[in-house]
Amino acid sequence: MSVLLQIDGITKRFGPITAVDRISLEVKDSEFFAILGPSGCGKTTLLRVIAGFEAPDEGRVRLAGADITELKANRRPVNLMFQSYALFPHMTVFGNVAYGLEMEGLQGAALKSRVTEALAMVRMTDFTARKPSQLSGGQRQRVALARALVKRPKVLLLDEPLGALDRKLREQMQIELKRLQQDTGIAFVVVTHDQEEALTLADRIALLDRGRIVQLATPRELYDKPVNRFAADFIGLMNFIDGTVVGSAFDAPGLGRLPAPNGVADGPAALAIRPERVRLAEITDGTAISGQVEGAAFLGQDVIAHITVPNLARPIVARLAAGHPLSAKLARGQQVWLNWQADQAVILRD
Amino acid sequence: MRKMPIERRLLTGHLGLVYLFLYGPIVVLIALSFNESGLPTAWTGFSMEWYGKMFANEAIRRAVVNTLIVAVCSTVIATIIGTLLAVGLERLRPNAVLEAFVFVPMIIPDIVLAIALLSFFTLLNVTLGLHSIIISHAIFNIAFVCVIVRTRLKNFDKSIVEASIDLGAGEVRTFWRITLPVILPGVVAGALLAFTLSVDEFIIANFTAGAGPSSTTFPMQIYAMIRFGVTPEINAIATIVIGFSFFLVLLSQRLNREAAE
Repeated sequence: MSVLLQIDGITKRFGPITAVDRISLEVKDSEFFAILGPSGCGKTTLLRVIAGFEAPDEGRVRLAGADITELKANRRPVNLMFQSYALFPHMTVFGNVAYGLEMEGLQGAALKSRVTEALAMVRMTDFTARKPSQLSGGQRQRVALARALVKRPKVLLLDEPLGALDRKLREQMQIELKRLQQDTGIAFVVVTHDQEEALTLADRIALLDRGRIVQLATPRELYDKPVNRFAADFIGLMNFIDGTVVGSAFDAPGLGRLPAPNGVADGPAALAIRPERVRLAEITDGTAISGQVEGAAFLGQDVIAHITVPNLARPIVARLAAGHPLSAKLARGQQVWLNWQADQAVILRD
Repeated sequence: MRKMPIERRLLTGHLGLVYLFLYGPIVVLIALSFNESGLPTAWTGFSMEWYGKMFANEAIRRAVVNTLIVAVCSTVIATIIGTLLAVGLERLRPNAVLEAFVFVPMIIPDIVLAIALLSFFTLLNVTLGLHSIIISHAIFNIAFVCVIVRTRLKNFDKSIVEASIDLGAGEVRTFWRITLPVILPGVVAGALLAFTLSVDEFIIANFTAGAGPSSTTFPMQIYAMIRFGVTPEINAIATIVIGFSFFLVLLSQRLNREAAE
């Protein structure tokens, strides 16, 4: 796959605040790319720079090899689906979707067939005559999607596309978005603060913090091999144990040597282990650490247990499959042993 | 029927008194306009005579035409400029001084504005007539239109303007096809108010009209007539004006309600 969108050293300042700080990234053809980060990390600003609503202070934006940094928003072959959907309240669903094509000078039957096609794509053909106020949140979003997609942009930008929907609808729309992206072959760049959304949707994720890219990786890499504490903490649940690396082994004060991957240079560090990687046992198997069950919660598919370990400030969180023999009988105060595979832990420097 | 608690009854009574105070004189006036005798002291029978007399009065007819010319022209000018002013102000960073200057023509006493305008026209050697009333009315109406359109713009989702640009429209097309249609109820409400204010305005018109019947507006005409006492003809005129104002208020309320939906 070749590079479609190239963000090259973009910096955007608002007064004394640097919202986007020398960000460079590349989006490939037909890729589903996510820009993920907490609020105020600069992700929306970056999106608006790509759309052409903000002029960057430094850096270039290139699309299919052409420099579009100076191109006005209405001339860019890029469309944006707004977080609020931004449907035109005085126009029908049909009018909303047709608007962008009318701007290209399309009329009559050609216009009608393109609009109908786009509405069919999002399954909204039965609602053409409705006004936005007569639609539900999910339906509005479909119209907003159709309106952006009907222009056949090179890149479709989506600002928090699922933010305003309730949980059930979100899951449904996630699948729908993925399907639309694959059917159209258009590159999607989605901005979100929801790590779960980014993990399920995207081919690659750029994790942002304070205007900079922390990590740019596939969802799997981001989840399994976070580069620092921020990335580890932001994505999913993570247990942290502070300690030191000495001679490629990890030592935690008061706990001794813990299973950890090799090949890390000596010095202070933190060991990070996912709750589902923590193994619980009623009897010791040698290397493990012990603790007391503080509480356990049944979540349907699995059980979350909080285990207090002496010399650790925060309890270790462990996730057990509901079928696990221990899951049904974890009682408060019970003594358990914790262990994990060395290669499933991550050693973090900062 | 259940008995209403005493507080409720007192409040209802109070409401009744307020409405009586507001509308008592107006009801009397309307009744008198249909009084055959023409005297405010005794009811002698129903009659449309005064309406006939009023319509036959050449001076009144001319004054009404003048007022309509002034009202329509000043409303059109004020609506265009006031709307653009509101849109422009909305784009600027919030600026208290600039905002205050928009409100001032609404708040300063008419008599002050009237004198200021008269001095201004004299200084520029502008001959007085209908055109100078039109300009004067447009000036305070711009403020009213601007304020009403701005309240509409406050609830305006600015992302639809960006959406329009994102979909390939330029600034001008975005204004005509997106911004204006969405704020239109506010613009129409502003225009209706401007029209009503202009029709009813006396002091400024009186100062800036110059001499002669060619620039006498309707309120000026009534004022001239009333110097010889309240005639039943004036009651008839007033009744028509009340009916017309009522209609305009209902219309603008309806527009606002539709816009809110």
